Amino acid sequence: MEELKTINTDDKSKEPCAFCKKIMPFWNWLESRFGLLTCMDNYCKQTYSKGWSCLRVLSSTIAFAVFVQVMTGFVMWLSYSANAGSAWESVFNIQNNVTLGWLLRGIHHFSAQVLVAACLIYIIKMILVGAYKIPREVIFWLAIFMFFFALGACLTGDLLRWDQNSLAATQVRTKYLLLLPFIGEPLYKLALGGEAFSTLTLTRFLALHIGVFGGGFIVLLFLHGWVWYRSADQDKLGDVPVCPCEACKPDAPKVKFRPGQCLRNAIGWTIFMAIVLGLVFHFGQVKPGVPAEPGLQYGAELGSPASTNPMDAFEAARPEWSFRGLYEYTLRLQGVPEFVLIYCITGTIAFLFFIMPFTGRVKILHAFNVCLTLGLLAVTVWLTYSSYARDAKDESYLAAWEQDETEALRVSALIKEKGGIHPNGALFMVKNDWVLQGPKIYSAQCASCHNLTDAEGKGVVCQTPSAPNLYKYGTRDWIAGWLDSKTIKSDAYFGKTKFVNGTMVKEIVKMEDEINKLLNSAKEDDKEEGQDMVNAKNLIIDVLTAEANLTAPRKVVDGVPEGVPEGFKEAFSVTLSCANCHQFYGMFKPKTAAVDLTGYASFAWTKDLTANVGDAKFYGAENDRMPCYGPEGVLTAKEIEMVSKWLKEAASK
Amino acid sequence: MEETRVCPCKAMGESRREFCAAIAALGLGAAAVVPGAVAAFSGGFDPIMRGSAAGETPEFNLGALSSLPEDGTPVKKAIIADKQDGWTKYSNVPVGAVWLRREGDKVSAFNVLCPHNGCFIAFDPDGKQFKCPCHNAFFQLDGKQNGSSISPRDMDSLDVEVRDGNVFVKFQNFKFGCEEKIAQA
Repeated sequence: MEELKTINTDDKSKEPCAFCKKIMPFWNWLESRFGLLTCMDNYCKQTYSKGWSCLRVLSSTIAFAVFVQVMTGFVMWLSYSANAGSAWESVFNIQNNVTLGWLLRGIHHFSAQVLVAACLIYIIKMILVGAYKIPREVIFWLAIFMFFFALGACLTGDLLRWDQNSLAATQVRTKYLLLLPFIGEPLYKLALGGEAFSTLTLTRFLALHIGVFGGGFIVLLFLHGWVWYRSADQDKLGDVPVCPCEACKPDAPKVKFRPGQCLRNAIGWTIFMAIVLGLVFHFGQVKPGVPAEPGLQYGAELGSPASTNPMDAFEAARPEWSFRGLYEYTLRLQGVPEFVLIYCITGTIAFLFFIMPFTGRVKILHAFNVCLTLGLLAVTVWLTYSSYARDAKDESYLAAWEQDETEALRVSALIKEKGGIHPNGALFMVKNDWVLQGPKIYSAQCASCHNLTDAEGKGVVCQTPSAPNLYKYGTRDWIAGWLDSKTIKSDAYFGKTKFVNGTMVKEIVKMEDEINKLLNSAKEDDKEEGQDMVNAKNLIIDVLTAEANLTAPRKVVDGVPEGVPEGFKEAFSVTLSCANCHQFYGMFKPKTAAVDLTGYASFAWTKDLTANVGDAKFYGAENDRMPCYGPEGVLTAKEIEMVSKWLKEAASK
Repeated sequence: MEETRVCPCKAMGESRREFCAAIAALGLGAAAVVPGAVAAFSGGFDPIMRGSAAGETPEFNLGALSSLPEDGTPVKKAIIADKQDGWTKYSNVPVGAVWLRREGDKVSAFNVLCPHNGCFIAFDPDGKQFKCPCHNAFFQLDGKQNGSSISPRDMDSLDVEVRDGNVFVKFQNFKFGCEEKIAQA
């Protein structure tokens, strides 16, 4: 057995110190079982013909980034659930409930992005300084593989948060597998765990992310380190490029690698982490300036929960930044078959890179390699930039993003409000939330006839409005409009319906003519009567406005509803003959049936009308074109409730 | 290093006896691995070993003809059917969607999935055309490609029939990224 003292016998200065001498048996044990001291000694004594270099920090920084990924990734794995019904929910929990979970996610996400960039820079650096040629071919190939594995880890990791964007974008990119002849479809099915995205896709992507791409990257890193260590005597590898920085220029031709390089490496790591933290605090789930909980504000993006329902299409699916160049390139070269673009051309470029260690030995081909690398880099940067620039001007893209952001914020607010996520999942909460579903149902069902636009035409715009404008529905101004001959005939009320020639419009015109006649009459009695009619009209508007604001129906005592002003009965039935057609809490005996005004435009009334406008207490057989949403099975009771509630709330704003 | 290396082939042994032992070791080792490998292989490749049940294209009732606007404005309708998601079975959930377009009494139906890459095609009411938001493929209202498009073919039309005032659509998905319209198994 080799004893410690036999090591370094030729070097007196390396005599063990007093402390080490005391624990000599321990050192000897380490040496005999692991050969650790010899290894350390070799490591510490490594020399380089050209010494330290700032350029050499890259590989060590990549190793550091992987360490960070393993550490943060493992802890997230502890709380992650790879199931379509709970993946988003578990990520939400990490982001919002786990102590500093947002930092954990943020560091993992952005370290991955910087790691991809670091691998790319590492490859470019090797080519630029000529360090890719034989005998460094294996190191170069390993660097290329590391880059691909980092991309693979990003592609698989992206889906795991299971929000609308990650699902939609992954659905697009996995379909590119289908372009491959013969193996395309089997590969696609293998990746997805079936023919469509499901829970099995998540379980597989998690396994691929950790087991194949994460684990594979670590294996590559060790291989890289091993091959690099074996070539430790860099003289064997010929010229090692010198960093242009002054501090890196050694005085002696052979310089001890450590600890000078270690310090540079540590600086590299610190810069890496500073960039990551900068990104964590710069980007966030919420746009800068939008007030939100601190945890929500920072770190990796988390949009609204993913829905595989084809009716909930997310219209802003885009690849991650590292694939934006490729995305833009396929868009710009429309007409060329995509198989050629995605597999043949990029495959050829990848092949050119793989053979670089051989071609690079010829001087002119080395120049070609450098030009190819720089050219590709420039083109990619330009394509990436122009892709982002185009999206920044694309209104439908921006609107889809904003919609998703609104949903994400709303669902977090809901979860906070309820104190947790519903057992059926966050998507269930989204689907049953009137704030989110109300406008969607309105746009899909109501907005084909009803405008919901203010005087400037802003709001939910209907292309060809043919029914009353529901802007400020149930407010005093809106109700007053029904009792005005000009407005009721306008397109914002009955103008485009068959009721424009109906009894109501005729009666209102008649009433207004009479009021005008009386008010302009010379007789005091007539004037007084006219004023009575105006007062009665205003009283009815007041009462109906109060009805619209009711949250529960009035109590009826002895045939009289509570809280209705005394003069109402006379105004409604005698002064103005509304009661000839309209009912109100069963107080009157209308001769012909028109809309029952009991609880008029209140939430409950609106809901009942939306459910079945053909009911006798609404338009009955006189109904113009509005569908009976409940009986016809177009909307569920819950959907009717949500759109009614939203319409009422929208009006009150 | 002056020491001569053993030729790797010599690892199989120099004598007949050693050679037989090496062969036996290889054979036994391989045999021992087989059951686990078979199980791992079939489990891992399970998704491609399942044959999908091919049958008649199912027909769906998408509601009353009268519910569609007569002016040819497209309406998106969900295809409601049962869905298997991993080990979970969902009854009556949207499994697909179609764009329905009525002009007078004529109804046309298109699968919402873009033939290029399967994104959901949206309707752009301002431009009166269909637009796929992923790669900006545009289609006219009759499903034909609008100008130069990344899509290799027109939108996938579906068989549609009006019976007793209701619209029935034979729903199927087609392969993406190819010029011919090939039904997905």
